[in-house]
Amino acid sequence: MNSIEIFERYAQEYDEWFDANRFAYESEVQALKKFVPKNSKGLEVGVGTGRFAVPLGIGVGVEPAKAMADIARKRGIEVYEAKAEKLPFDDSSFDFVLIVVTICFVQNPMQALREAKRVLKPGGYIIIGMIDRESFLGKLYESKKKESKFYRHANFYSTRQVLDWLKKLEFEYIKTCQTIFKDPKKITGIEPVKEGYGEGGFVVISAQKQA
Amino acid sequence: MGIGECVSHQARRGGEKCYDENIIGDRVYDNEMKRELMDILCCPKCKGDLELSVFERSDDEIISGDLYCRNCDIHFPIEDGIPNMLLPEMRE
Repeated sequence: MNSIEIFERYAQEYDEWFDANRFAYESEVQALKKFVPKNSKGLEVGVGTGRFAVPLGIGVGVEPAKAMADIARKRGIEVYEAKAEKLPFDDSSFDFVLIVVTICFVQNPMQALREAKRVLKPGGYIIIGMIDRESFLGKLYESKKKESKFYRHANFYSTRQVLDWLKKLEFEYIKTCQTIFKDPKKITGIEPVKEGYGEGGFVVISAQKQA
Repeated sequence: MGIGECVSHQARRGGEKCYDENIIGDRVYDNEMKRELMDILCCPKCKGDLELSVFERSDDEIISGDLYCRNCDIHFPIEDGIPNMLLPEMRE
């Protein structure tokens, strides 16, 4: 099974993670809120069941696994079944594009970022939320990869790698922040959000398409 | 680019009702956001215009229908309110 088939089959189970790990989830939302622009038109690529789009006020998403898309639609998101590498939108359509814990599942990350850039308006923002491969969490997930039906198919990347791709695509004004400083299973409250990357398991990158 | 008028009955599936309406017209889409979305939707392959046929509608939402790219000759079905914009070789 590939990752799309896994998400197709276990959509409900995937969605329950967010209830079981409420503080980790909330910490990630807080970190994303630092960079997600308010009152502008956003697209989430790999919207999943809508767990991030809803609290971040994003109305549109693409998701290749229909069972996940069905749940997102019930949560009020306008969803399209599509892959990150081939977006069904005109050039310069959105003020920002959000990609959360999705880069690790796409087949061709560089092409996904190129497509995100294409649908962004000039001066628009790409916001990426990811598990940093070089963080304690990235290493933990990598070591337990075979035990997780979801992460078995994931390719985790380092923040440095993603920053490198963004620079190659000529994105500007790159900023980062981070959260999740201990094992999500041991978190008993919302984790702080700090600038930069290197310590936190969950990193958010914001970069601007040339105006 | 955007969505063209309903491709009359060409994209119609056997027995299903096809509403001959201009979907981007005001009378169909009161909801500004959804109308804008239809405007920016394009073929994922050639990024060209799509032609919309509506089979079933509920309030301001298209529940079932078809989006057609004449250039690539690909149909993108709308099922359960979700347009399937995957290329045929990516579908199950």
